[in-house]
Amino acid sequence: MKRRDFLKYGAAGLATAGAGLSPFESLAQTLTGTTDIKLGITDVETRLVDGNKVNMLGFRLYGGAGALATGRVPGPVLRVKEGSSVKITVTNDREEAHGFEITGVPGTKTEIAPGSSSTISFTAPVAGTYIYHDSLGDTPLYRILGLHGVLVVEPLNGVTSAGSRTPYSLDKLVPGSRTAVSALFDALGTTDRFQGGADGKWVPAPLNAEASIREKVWICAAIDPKFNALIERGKPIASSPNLTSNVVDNFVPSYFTINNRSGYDLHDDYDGMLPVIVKNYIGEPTLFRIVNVGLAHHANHFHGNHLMELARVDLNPKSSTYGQMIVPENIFEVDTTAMWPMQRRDLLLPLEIPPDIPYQIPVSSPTGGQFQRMVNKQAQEPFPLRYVMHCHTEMSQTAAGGNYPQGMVCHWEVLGGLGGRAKVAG
Amino acid sequence: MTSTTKTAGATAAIGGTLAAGEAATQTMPPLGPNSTAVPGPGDYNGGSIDFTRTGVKGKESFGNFGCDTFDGNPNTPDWTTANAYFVRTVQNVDVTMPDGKKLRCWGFGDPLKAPGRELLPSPLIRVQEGDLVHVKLQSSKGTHTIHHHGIEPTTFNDGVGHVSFEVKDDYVYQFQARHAGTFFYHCHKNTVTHFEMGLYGLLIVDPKPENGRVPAYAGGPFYDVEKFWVLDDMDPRWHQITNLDHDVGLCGDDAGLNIFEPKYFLISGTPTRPNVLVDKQKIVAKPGQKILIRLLNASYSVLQVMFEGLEVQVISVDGHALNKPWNQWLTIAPGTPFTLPTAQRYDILIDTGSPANQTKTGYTHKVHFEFQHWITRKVHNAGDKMYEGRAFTTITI
Ligand SMILES: [Cu+2]
Ligand SMILES: [Cu+2]
Repeated sequence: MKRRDFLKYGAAGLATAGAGLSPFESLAQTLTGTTDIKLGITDVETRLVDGNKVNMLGFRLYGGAGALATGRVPGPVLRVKEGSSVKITVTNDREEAHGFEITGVPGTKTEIAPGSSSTISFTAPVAGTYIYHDSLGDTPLYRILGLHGVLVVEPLNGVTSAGSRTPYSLDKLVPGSRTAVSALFDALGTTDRFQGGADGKWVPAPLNAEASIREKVWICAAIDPKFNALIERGKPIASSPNLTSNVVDNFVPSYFTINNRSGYDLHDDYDGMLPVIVKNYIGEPTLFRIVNVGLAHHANHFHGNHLMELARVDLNPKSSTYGQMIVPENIFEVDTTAMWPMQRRDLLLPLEIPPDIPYQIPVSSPTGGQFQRMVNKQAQEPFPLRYVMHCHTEMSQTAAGGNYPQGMVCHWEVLGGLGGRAKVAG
Repeated sequence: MTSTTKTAGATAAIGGTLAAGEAATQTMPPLGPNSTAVPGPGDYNGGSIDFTRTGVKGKESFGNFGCDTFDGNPNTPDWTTANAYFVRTVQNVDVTMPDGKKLRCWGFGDPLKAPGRELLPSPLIRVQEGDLVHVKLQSSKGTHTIHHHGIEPTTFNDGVGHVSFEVKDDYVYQFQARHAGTFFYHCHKNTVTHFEMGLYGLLIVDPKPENGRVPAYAGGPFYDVEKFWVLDDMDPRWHQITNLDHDVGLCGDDAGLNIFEPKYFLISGTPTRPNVLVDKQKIVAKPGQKILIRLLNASYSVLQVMFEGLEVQVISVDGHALNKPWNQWLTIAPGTPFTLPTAQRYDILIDTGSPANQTKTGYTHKVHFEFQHWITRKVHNAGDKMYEGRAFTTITI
């Protein structure tokens, strides 16, 4: 595979601060006052994992820094509080009309003429994960070309009666869902399986951060370069009714991305990019907000831990709750989750000790587990334990027609045992 | 034990991180009644490891990420004595399809329990909760790995080349089965093609017997009839290019691996035709019996499943029982379609004596499978009498 000959990402950006904010949070500090948000629509260029470049369309954030200021795919992660009034102004820097919509939030759909702005005002909906995108003309075209991002709505009443924080407004859930969500988040830090005491609880990301140590946003997508080739910088998209009249049937993607990166480019996080990789200790449960803005049906498979499926959108058109976000009464523990197009899922990675590491050695008379031996530095295999996450609909593990695993493949890391972060920090 | 070069027993005490004598003196727990293992310890595979020659401590680069990835025959870190032992080889399996054509597949062989047998899916790995399991992979036709899907061991035993290594000749994977449920195992080398070729099989973890019977999970339901339905789809073009080049596409070729157009659809290795009963995979149960179906989507399609006439219950998903404080069994009403993404497992219980199903005694009920395209969601080869992506079998009570 031909590869670009450089990778100019600052190594300084890779160092992780001890216990406080990780470096990507400082990047997002510009996201203050998120109840009055100003976005722009502009041309951007993306360098794919094999070095080829494609043109894309991106959102930029007025008042943002780095890539967010000039335009990035995906757009900035916006965080608002449930029930707050939100104003979003979108300026269209391009030479053709664009649209804006937050799926599942009434009153957010608008059209923006070339060179002008449009403002939407709405009350932040029930807590959860939402997709904003350009749906002008009800085509997925602009969405797959890069005009997509995530809005996170934080709960007003997210704390269980036992004091555990959750991502949902418990008073707005049906009793069965409230019970299930509470049981799970109350179990964190307090059971044999999920240890850690108060530190073992889930902690939401700050309102002014795109992501945090305990919360990541993943935006799955796919790229078919023949569609991107329609974009000429500074001009309207080239007319190609043959292609664009039926985007889904003509879509033959050859790059599969999370936060617009794939394969080797996902092996670590870099300055200015929306972070992907979880690097945590046992007992640091982490929330993934995963959405699929692409057109392929993905099957995201995590190694190392099963994840709890917290919330999803009902995508079955025959269902009475079609289009609604569901916080289930029945929270499955899965190693593979269905990410169909426009699905939005919240999943909890518990950061439990990977359960099948020999836990009773010798097997006939327990004297201790291999993981504890690793923590005690009595074992051969070192930390970090690295576990891959990949799409199991395997075509999307490729890039440019082959090159496994340069597609939708990344990983997460177990840095060490319970309380390890505090020990490192001293 | 066949053709072992290293043997356990006396040398076991120096293995891994065990204190001297621990391994040698322990008595091995017996295998479960359904186990497909041979009793351990099997081969000794402890000793020193140079992690810098693997993804664990080797420097990850663009070059070794997929194309020139780590490979070798390392010892098993923290090797400890196993009570359940398996060997898996890699072999050709030729499957005759409904159109009369032979399709070259690959499967894992089991030289200890089923020497010489060509099987698709590969031979079952069945162990009991708490078993210390060793699976020795003997590669041929280049490097391979085994990833025990849903089993969560250390990185070195997880079978993913770019974060650990691929197996040149042999390696002993080590894990201890924690959760009773349905898992599978597959090759994770150039996974896109090696999984497609058929290098996969089911992996079942049974709970310990309760009053002489094995339930679905500890404290879970007992069952009288057990069936594995593993759904697969095959694109002959992929089989042809992979059989010619086991590394196809890995180092820069555009092998068209983003395009998947299956022509053949299989239930547990049995090729199917649309609108023709897949007799070999049907279920026959007596009134009042409980049926446990272990369902796996091993295809690259969105799999839609529909049980006609019977109420079914999902009791376990991806090997984790629905018995936690935050979940419960999921009841699916008769005739309600549901979908599974690639690699997901549902354990489905059908209680033929339940109020909903009692009245269905004496009848045969169809179970439909539909393979939908991973982008368009259209059923593959719609309308084609030979190649349409639909299959059905039956449940008779
Ligand atoms: Cu797998
Ligand atoms: Cu895998």
